[in-house]
Amino acid sequence: MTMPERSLSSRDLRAFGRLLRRFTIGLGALILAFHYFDHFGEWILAVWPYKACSEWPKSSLANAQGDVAEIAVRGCVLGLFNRQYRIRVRPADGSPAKVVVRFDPKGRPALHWLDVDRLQVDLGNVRALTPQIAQAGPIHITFIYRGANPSLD
Amino acid sequence: MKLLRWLEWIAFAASLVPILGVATFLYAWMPLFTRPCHIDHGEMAKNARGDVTEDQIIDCAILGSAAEFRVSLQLAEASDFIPLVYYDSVSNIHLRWLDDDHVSVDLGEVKWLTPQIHQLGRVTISYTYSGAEPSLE
Repeated sequence: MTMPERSLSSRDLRAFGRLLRRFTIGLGALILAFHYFDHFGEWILAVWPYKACSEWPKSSLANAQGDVAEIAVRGCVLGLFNRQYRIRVRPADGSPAKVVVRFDPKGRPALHWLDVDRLQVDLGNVRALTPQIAQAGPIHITFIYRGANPSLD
Repeated sequence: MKLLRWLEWIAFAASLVPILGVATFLYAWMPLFTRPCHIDHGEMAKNARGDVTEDQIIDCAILGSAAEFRVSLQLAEASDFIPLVYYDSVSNIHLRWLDDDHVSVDLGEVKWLTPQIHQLGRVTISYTYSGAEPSLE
């Protein structure tokens, strides 16, 4: 047995109207909550279980001493927005890990340990990069890149 | 059941008030959303060529963002300021042109700062600070 087409369509319309009504009520309640409760936005950000932005390692390279240089990617909303590469150095002597440059590559960046306390970072062709940090604990870092000048924008 | 439906309609009508209020607000403040950041200008120094270095505060109307302090340089032939360093200082900063091609930026004691831009066009920038190492985090 099939339902008459007209009644099915009006039922769908009614369901859609109900959905729209409830959505509007929810939105109105949310706006009122933002308006009347101080720090409601900050509270939502604090209790929200999923971080909007996250970072994941791409590759890493250790020297004989155990110092580690790594290429990491940071992005927001599953890496779709504000995607950014970072080079981080983790000295083995307990000095704090340090991001030594942030950049937007066109090709594949590469890491080379020249000896136990000298790291060479080849960023290749870049669209943008920050000024660099040339020392992390006992490690001296040199950078090779082309395509852009350092900028803090 | 009927009462529930009436309540739902009343809540719906009531919800339209804040929604329309927000829509009006968004319309009125549209320029703020297209350009959410504004710059407060602090101490500035200019050389004879017309290059300007300036202490600035960037304040953005974005949830969770805090005001940022930075020193910027505008070359005489350029229309925009280029940021040289972002910092969080506990003392007053001093900007001084040593000559037309050299500017000195004294940030004093800082709690945090980024790595700096040392050269922009013909201008070489030197920095003095204490209290923290440059960081990109």
